[in-house]
Amino acid sequence: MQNKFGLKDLVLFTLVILIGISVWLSMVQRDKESARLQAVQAKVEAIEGSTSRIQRTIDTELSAVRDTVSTLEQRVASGVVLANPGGGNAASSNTGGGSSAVDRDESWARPGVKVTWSKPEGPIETSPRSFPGYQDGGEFISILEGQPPIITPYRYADVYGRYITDEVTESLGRYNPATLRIEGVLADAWQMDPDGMWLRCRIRGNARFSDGEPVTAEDARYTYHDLIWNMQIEADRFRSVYEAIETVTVVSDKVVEFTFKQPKYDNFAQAMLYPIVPKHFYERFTPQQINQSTGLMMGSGPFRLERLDVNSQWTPPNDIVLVRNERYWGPRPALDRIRFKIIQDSIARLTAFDNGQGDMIRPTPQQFDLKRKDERFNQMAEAKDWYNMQGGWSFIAWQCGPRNGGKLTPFADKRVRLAMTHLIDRDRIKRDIYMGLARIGTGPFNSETPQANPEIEPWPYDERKAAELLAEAGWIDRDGDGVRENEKGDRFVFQITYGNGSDSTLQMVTYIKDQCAKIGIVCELNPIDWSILQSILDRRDFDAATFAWSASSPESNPRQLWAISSIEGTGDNFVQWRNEEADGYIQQGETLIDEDARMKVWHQLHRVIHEEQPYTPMFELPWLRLMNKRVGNVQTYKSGLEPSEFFIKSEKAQAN
Amino acid sequence: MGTYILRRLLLMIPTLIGITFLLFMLVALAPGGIGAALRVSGGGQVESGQKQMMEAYLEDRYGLGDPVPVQYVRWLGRISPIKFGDRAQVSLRGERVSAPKPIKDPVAWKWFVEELPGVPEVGHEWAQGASDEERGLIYAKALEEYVAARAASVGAAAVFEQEAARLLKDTGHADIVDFRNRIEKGPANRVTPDRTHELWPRVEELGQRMMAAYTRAQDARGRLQAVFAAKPFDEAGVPIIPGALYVDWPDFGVSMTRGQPVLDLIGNRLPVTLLVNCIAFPIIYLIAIPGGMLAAVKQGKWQDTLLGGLFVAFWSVPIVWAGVLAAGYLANDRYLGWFPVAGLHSNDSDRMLFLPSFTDGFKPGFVLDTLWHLVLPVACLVYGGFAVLSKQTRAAMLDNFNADYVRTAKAKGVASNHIIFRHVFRNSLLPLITMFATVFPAMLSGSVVIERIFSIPGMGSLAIEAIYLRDRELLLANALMIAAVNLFALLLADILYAIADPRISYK
Repeated sequence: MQNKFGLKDLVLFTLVILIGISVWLSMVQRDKESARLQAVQAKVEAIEGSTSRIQRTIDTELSAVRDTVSTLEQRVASGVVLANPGGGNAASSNTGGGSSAVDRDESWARPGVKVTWSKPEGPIETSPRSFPGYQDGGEFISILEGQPPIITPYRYADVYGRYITDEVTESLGRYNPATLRIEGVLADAWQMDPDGMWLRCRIRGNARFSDGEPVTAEDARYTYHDLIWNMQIEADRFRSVYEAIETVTVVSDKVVEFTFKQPKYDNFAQAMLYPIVPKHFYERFTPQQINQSTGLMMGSGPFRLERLDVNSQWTPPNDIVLVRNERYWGPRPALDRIRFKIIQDSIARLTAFDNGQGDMIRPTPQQFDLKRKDERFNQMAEAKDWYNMQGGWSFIAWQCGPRNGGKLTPFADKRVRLAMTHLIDRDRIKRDIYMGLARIGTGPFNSETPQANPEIEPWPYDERKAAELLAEAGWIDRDGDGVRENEKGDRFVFQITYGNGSDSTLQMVTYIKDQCAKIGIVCELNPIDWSILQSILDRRDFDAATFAWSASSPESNPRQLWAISSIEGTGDNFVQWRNEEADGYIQQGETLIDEDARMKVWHQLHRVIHEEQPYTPMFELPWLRLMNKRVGNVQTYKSGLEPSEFFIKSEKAQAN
Repeated sequence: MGTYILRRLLLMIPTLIGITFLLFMLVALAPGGIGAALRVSGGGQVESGQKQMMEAYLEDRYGLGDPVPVQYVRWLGRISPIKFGDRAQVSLRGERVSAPKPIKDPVAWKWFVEELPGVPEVGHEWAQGASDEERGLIYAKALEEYVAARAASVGAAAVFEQEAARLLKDTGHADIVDFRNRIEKGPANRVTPDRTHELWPRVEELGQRMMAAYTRAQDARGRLQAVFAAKPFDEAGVPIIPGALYVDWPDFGVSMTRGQPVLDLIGNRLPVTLLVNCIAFPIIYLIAIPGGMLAAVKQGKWQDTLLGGLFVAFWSVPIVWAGVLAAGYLANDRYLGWFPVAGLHSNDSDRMLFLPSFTDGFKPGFVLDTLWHLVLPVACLVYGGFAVLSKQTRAAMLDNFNADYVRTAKAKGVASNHIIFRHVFRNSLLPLITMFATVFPAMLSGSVVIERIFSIPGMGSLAIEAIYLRDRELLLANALMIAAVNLFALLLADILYAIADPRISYK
């Protein structure tokens, strides 16, 4: 092979070099263009911000003037003579108190039914502005452990999707973070039918979506009837949550009325809590476009999606960036941006947090325990654990009926279930396995919520009592082989079913197995994959099973888990617990609209479940969060966290 | 050669069908079955009756209620470029629209009627001068009505089925009811219900409701069918036998758990995996092959031992361990903190310039930032790959060193560098070329472990998720892609053999 460098090669070589140079030059050119574009964008954003500030000032001034005028009008009407022109000033200076009394125009309401008014300032519990080191601006970075594939409202399917849409969309109301009672957000006033069949709401006059369009009654109607219940849109999960509402009717531009199918207590919550999205935005899309969207998210909340571009939506691998909604009608959040990063590996997550690449993570209990004892860590961050309404609770469910349509399990006898509860030293499990990061449960309701009966104490650990109860139920070691038998000679053998993959669960069931062996019961371990749990529960194919329920609201309808009607088919009363007394309480409680009276009924139900122990409640689990100290006003509410109240401390405050 | 390649290409079709079928059956028969993740209600409060309805909607939408082989064949029909029946149409927004799906017969309908109501034959005429948009709107309206009517029908049937199941159980027909209170359709029609039973009035009421909903749904389907037949949009594909057979792009469907087209999902992930692998593989080759050559030249000397020992030692370190150590020490600011711990870009990467700039201080720019993020994952991907390739090179080189022509060349007095590079190395390349063909499938598949540790959204995690969630469409498309690339790579390897070695021919 000859290897001469000829003319042809020279031409080729020059060509290649020329192409390379031109590619380079075009990249530089693009670079310059994009730099200029960014500068322009930044300017536009700044202008947008200042316009909205001006708009706000005008708005507040206008409403103050309006209030003054109406106060004056009222005074004139009540016969006060305006002799002193300075009186107007005096009136306008106390508009805060005066206006709320005057502006309560109830002409929109149905006559004769009490109207409840919201706080005028909007949804805020603790203002960040009074804290030392407060400053406006900054980015809060939350590291999530799972990837939400979709963040479009009513299409997302996981808790991360909810965290994100919660900052962007708003409902008529929300659970007050401290009291857990429903308070108005978009609604400035409402009337609830004392019989629970209708609800009339007035939407705040100044509520606007992030594109500046006002929130109207039509948006509320559209969201319910044409989005959630549009069968072409794959929103099945939400259809099963918001199903109590029969119709949503537009009464006037700002007044909306709901009617319900049955007089149930949770009607009010369903109507008040579904997020309202802008009709003018979503109606531009076909159902298929909404189904296939990843990030079509727009609402009236304190934040908005940084780039809401229909043609290039946010897609999963990227961070989710929310920016402050400069047109927000309510209290202006301090943060400029919230960024959600996704790091699935727990070690990498902790490292990123240590490096300051994220302000908040959800640690594993082991990481939490390690970090809270680490001095260096405590200088830069805080480990927070607290119980709230979204915390789940774990339990052991005992099969009270026949297993998979066959034989009754030993747990059909209430005394045996109670004996099992006495046999398990939950204090020890809490200390040794959960590192103290758990609270022993008493029953099916979260202790942070008013639904739980505060008088109930967990059954104590008492092996002797357990043995007595077992003997009483006829389980005695009759042939001296160390295992208890009943009168028919059946040995006490059962299987405990649990999801594999969790070390703490494995340690717990191993401990239970040992305890059982000590008292003469054979406990077999049956680890399963999570994906088949549902089908095992549907078939009622287990003796005992341990897992956890999660919660997202302060009150849950016990019908799902405890009613006799939920035993039928694949209902969720998979322990097949039949109790007429409990059923009575469920029926009674469900239709009681008055909250205090209803809570009394739930307390009774709690007592029955406690005495009967169809589940042995194990633990209520707190929320664990590691939080960088540069974030201020992190309040641990009973409802969870409120990122819209956070702020990033000024450099000076951080140094201290 | 040409016929050989053609034969191999044709053989690929049954092979691909076999692979995807086996995989599909494996997943379908695993506990939980297809779409298991869809059925988990996700902590929402679902009442018993509601739950049945939701499940019925899901089954109806994704065809989950059908036998597994039917689901597979339906998938095959969709991805096949040759399609039967009425041609699909393409809406103005580019969405593919096909003829309305038929509704399943309601359970136990013979209890109420002699004959099921059919689809009414209605025609549809466009108004004079109807624009494309108006036609689209009319179609959208008809579709919306049909979907709503169909859902109502499915829901009513689910509610009826629960109640009818109780009646059947009470009257000695428990054998045709399963644990979900689902009734076998065939036998249910042959059973005569006990019309004196106390449950009957309720069952009858629900049954009548179901039949009414079914009739309405059939009517709506008739109307939609008519609108569709009047061709509101342009038709897709190229006809072969009009009305019966046409050719069109394969349709990979929409992920059941994500709601997005499968191709979009893969399209999002594939570039990431390709980027990582396109950096990693050249590094492996550039280090392993010279290493192997050096080891061969210095056979038995300390260089050989050192390189061999080092590469095998690397090869023995588990990636999980190395990855965690790298993230924990090299990326943690408490220790070295040289590299970012996760992801592909910095937080402010979307505001960076593309190239590094020095105008006011050094700014890395988008390209360098990405490369910096890739250092640890690529290192983890690379270190285990040296051993095999370098040993292969070493062995091939040694074979040739002992060959006659090398001795001849040496005897002729050719310089030893010339011998090594001109003669020995060239001849040793043959096995390496064929090995290179197998690299392609590996390039596409991605590494689950590395992707997880370094939070890189690549193909590996997509495939794993599809398996965990039993997402039929995503799983099959993934399997089809990997299998096809594998088969092509094998074919390529065989062709390269023939090209590189004239003694081999496929006559």
